[in-house]
Amino acid sequence: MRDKRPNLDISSDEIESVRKEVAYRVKKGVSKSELEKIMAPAKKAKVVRTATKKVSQAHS
Amino acid sequence: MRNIEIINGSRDTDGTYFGHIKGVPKPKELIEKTMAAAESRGADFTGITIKSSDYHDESSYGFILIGRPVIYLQGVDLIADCAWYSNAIRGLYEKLNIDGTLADRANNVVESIVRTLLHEYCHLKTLDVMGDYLAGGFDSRFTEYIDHVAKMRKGGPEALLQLDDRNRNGEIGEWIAEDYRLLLDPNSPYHNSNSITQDLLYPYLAADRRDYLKGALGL
Repeated sequence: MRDKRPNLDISSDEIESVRKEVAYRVKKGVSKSELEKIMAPAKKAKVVRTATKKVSQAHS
Repeated sequence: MRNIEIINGSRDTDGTYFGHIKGVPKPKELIEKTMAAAESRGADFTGITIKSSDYHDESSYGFILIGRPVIYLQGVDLIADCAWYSNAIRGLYEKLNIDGTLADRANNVVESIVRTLLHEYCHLKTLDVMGDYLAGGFDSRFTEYIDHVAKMRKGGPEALLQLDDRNRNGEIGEWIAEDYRLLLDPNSPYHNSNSITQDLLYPYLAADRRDYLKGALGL
């Protein structure tokens, strides 16, 4: 968790590449399955919490 | 009361490592001045200790460690570094036909330390909200924010998915720390270090991303 030195050595070609890539990604969107995979560790944690809740409710 | 400790050398007494390069120490008065500036932009350093060393590792200006209310400042030669940043960002502004006034403001040691203090403060605040997100990831509050990160990151979601869970969560955490910093300090001359070109090309996407973060963190 560091405040890192950024890369500022960016060529005009790289700028154009970034411009095209972001435009493409925005148009295409990020699929639900990709987003779920990116967020996967949190989902696993949520399942554990839910399971615990169910057990405690079952005992009450 | 501000808690500031000056560390002489590359390691703290508990072994925490600042780096192998001897750089430039920050006087306590300068740290107090920058803390006051960061507080005026919304930080609250109550219960947080600032430890500043004259050593660094060439790659970063400061860091935190999970579970410790401490911000570590490294001994980067900030006079040289600010001059480098200012010149380099001016070059990028010229390529993008953007007014370069902000580049002059980046050549400022106080602003540079404020950036690092706020960046690390925002990590600590995010950990308060999320717990250890390196291990646990991010819950559904962050879905829209991470969707924007995935769209704007070089290589897109595919590149994020190539990282293991811990590194992916760590990278998203770095985007959050920088965007959170800019929510507190919108006039900072320093852009989100993860997405400088993207944010300059698509400022409305950067603004949307920060709005989603604001909602996720309940700010």
